[in-house]
Amino acid sequence: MLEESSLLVNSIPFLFQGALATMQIAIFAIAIGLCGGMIIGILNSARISNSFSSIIFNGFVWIIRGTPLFVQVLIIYYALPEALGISLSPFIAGVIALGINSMAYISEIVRGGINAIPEGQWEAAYVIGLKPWQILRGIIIPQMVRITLPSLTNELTALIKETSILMMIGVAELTKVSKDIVARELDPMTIYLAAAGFYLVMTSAVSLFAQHTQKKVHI
Amino acid sequence: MICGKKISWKYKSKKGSSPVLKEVSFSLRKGRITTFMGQSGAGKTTLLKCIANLHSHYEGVIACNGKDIREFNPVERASTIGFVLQQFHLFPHLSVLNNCTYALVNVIGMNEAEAENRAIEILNILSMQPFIQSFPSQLSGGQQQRVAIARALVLQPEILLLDEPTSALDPESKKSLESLLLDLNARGFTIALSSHDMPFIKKIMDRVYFMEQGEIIEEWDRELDDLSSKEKIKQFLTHI
Repeated sequence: MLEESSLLVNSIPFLFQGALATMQIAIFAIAIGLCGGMIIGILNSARISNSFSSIIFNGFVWIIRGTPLFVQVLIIYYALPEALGISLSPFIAGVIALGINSMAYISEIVRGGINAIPEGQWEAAYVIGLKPWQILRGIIIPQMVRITLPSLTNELTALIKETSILMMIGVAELTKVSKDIVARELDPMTIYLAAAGFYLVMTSAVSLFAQHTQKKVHI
Repeated sequence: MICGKKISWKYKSKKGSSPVLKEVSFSLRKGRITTFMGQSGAGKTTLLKCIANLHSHYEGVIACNGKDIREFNPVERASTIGFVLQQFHLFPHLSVLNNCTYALVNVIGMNEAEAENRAIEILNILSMQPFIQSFPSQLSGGQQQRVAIARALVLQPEILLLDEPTSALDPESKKSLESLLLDLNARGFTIALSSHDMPFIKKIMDRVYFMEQGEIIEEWDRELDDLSSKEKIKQFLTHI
């Protein structure tokens, strides 16, 4: 017991470093996913999309949702640099892969949220003289955020957990750090439980932030 | 003031198109209450949406003071035509006050304080001042409608359109709406509305267009016509 406690105490700084890397990856990927997903979701919503944009965006979503995240990571880390003649660090490749994957899911959440807003809201905004971008910014997007916040929270917590897949390309995130410690110390129970604890803290922080935001935006 | 000449509009779907308005001509006169009445599906709402430019791909011309309303810029349109939708559609994330000031600030370019003063003045006329900090979900149907009317009136439109204004109201709120519209009319507001609520129409009827299957088949003006000579309108009113 004493040995395990001492191992845990000694491992905490390393696990904390891994958790920091996980958070960095998640934050960058979320930024890409949210920005891209919002734009695609808005452009692909029923009132705004046309048949051409629909084909492009639905095709993108179809490919990303229909293939494993792990394969996408491998394509972006190994295949794409070779095809384009560039080199990507595991960290950058991982962030891009997770960001693009998240973008597809978030775009569908946003599209669904916008389509759920009654037609009358657009009409009411139009008749008081608002221009299309003002309607989107001031009337539609705030309502969409209210509608989609629970689903977006799910997506963001899923993304934090999915960062663990990046250990396969050598990113020193929380799971990889834990695995390395276990390989050295041969005590999987203590270390993996501690890693799970770190993940719980991170996902709970996102959930708490979302709950706080829900209250703020008057849901 | 607003004249529509030979307005035709077709509902288009993947299966084809079906005519909803067929060469409808009308005029909305200054200071009067014009009612478009008829059964559901007669084309009343579609016509009001054409007047508000929510449907712009119609044949014919709707002109306000000689200018085609499709040529209006958003500011001109909003300050000429106010439209209260059937389900009101207040913005749920904005308070009553912000529902009313939003267009004043973002469309007209008024400063916040000035916009709030104007909105409070109108909300006061509509007896909604105690609710200015409430959100739409905290209001009754009748109160929501008053806010929707206030949201339109703050822009000081020349004409106020109301689509089926009684459809979501209880009898008490209907009575209150009747007196409100008559009061607004007495203050000089031009009003046009669509309705198939006969008891309500009887109370406020001033000028009436009777619509059936996308056409205006009879019209009546309190100042010019004898109701007994208007068979369709008389028949429709006595049904209730």
